[in-house]
Amino acid sequence: MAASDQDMASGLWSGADGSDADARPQLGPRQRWARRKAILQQAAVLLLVATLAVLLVRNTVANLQARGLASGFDFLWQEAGFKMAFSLIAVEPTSTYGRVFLAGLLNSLLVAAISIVATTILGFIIGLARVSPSTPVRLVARGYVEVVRNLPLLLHLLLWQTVILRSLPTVREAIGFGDVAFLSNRGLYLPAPVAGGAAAILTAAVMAGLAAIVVGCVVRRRARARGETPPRFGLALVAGGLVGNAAAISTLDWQIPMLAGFDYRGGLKLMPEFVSLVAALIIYNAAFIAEIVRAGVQSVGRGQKEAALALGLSSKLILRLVIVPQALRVMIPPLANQYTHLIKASALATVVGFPDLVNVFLGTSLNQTGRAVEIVLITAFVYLTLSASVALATSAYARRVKLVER
Amino acid sequence: MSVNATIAVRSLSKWYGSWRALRDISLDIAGGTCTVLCGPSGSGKSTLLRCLNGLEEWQQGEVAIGGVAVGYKARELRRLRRDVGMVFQHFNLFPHLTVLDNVTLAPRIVRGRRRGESEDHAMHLLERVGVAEHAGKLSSALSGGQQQRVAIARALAMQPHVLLFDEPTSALDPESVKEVLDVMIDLARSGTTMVVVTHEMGFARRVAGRVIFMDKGSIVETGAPDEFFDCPCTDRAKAFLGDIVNR
Ligand SMILES: Nc1ncnc2c1ncn2[C@@H]1O[C@H](COP(=O)(O)OP(=O)(O)O)[C@@H](O)[C@H]1O
Ligand SMILES: [Mg+2]
Repeated sequence: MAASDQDMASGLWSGADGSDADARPQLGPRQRWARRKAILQQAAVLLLVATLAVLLVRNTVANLQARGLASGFDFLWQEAGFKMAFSLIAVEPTSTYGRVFLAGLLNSLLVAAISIVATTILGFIIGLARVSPSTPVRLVARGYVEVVRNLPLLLHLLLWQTVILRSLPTVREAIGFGDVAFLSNRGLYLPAPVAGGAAAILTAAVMAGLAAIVVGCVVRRRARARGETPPRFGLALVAGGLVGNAAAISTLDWQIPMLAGFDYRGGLKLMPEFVSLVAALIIYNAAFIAEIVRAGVQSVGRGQKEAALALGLSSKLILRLVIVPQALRVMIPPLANQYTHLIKASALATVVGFPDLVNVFLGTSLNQTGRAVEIVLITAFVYLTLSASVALATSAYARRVKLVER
Repeated sequence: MSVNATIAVRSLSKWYGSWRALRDISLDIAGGTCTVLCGPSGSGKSTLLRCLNGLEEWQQGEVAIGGVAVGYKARELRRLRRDVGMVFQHFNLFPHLTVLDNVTLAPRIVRGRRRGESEDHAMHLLERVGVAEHAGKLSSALSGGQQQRVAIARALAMQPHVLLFDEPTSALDPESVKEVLDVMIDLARSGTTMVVVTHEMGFARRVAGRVIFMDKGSIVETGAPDEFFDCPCTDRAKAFLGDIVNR
């Protein structure tokens, strides 16, 4: 390294392989130095972290052995012996801890997915209301934001739990939504598709349909980016995918919840704990997303709106076609932040007794097996992976909508 | 141009808070002519221009374009603005859209044109202003002069009866100024009704039918370009012309 530095300084290097004077060198001296420095720094940090990790693991393992405690991940294949109050996959007392982990993870993902989609929609509505030209609309939106975001999330959660558990009617007097969905103090009952024998074929068909739509959209977008008229088969792919999926979904048998004895049977039953957890997450995070949306909209210069007005566009269309697409670029990093926050906050499920990953794995499973290190590691890994996925997805989107700045 | 593109302003006054930006302006502009508005900074040129397409509201007086009063209801304003294009000092292109989409957006959305049809028209206009080879780029990737020519194409795509220009060249380097002015001269010669806020004397002499000189919110002097620039009648116009020549 030192030798090549000297070569560079004395100019021998550039003479040695600089036969073509116009050829751009791969890297300039400063870039080369920066790269070398970065590699050295990263190696040092990596070494430090690895040493600490090895020490920590060896120490823990030694301690556990000294106290006669078992360690290792074999417990994942052992029988857990408990039931979960709610799960998307069947969990019996004979199921393994591995299956409990999977069921808890799916529950956490369900809460996060529903909450993120709904809170984004609600947050956008309130954020756009914050910048509405109508004073009453603005005031209502502002009131929502100021009240909701200044109360602790835990308070929201307990409020919703008591509201839902105490004030909803009993099963016999359940509130019906068009005789297909019902709400009672035992939970929310929704129609659910029945997975018959053709479930696998149907899933494959829907996937193929989605793939066709995506490919069609990409083909059209590419063509337009090149300034060509999009080829007809792009549109055909999108239309075919949509029609195919609609057909596939229409062949599904929907099971509608029916009152049988003291409870509804059939369909999907969402327990009140789930409803209150999701409601609290949606409402609380929407207040923050509303502020992100407002800041984003206000970051778009006045000239943009004026130019669009001067072309004869209506305020609604200006918002949708000109303001929001530009505001999104500013909103992506804080939105990603908010989504990560929501995913982590969903672990408050334990407070209302909803069996999410933390509740069944970090809670019950850890208590029963005593494999603290393993379970904490797995759970931490799951949350880090989820946060990283949010970061990856949002930065991919950010790259797609990035502008060339001059 | 067959359409009625006359502009009539009657006793127009506008206040920003307690500051009176326009004082009792009356003005008639015939269709198919090019009118240049000039005057010192802060004299109310932009304000007057922006009243013509209803971007500003005013307290007294009336404005009519093609015999139709410029109203205050959103629907009336949208209908008016379809036929009155505007070009801004800082271009105000939509930076998240390609050059082509900038030009086709309003024809597709507001006039309901099909994409293919509006893209053909847009390419023709981009050709005319000399930026056709950049059609697929994001508009923010273009140089200032190129952006301003796209902005002109964007306004033209709506096939407006009247075009308003607010200092279209004052944010540009000298070479770009010439490119943009060439496009505007071409437009004026083809008989587009234009109202142009500019201090470009060369442009005014070549294509303007009339120069209007404003100061402190009033019209101080109007005249044919050669008369106005060679021997202005008022002291204020003399002082102003002295300033821009000596700059
Ligand atoms: N939004 C506004 N609020 C308050 N005063 C304004 C506003 N816009 C313009 N003015 C004032 O009105 C006067 C005329 O402005 P303008 O029409 O932009 O002048 P010009 O375009 O001739 O330079 C100036 O004194 C300016 O300070
Ligand atoms: Mg101005």
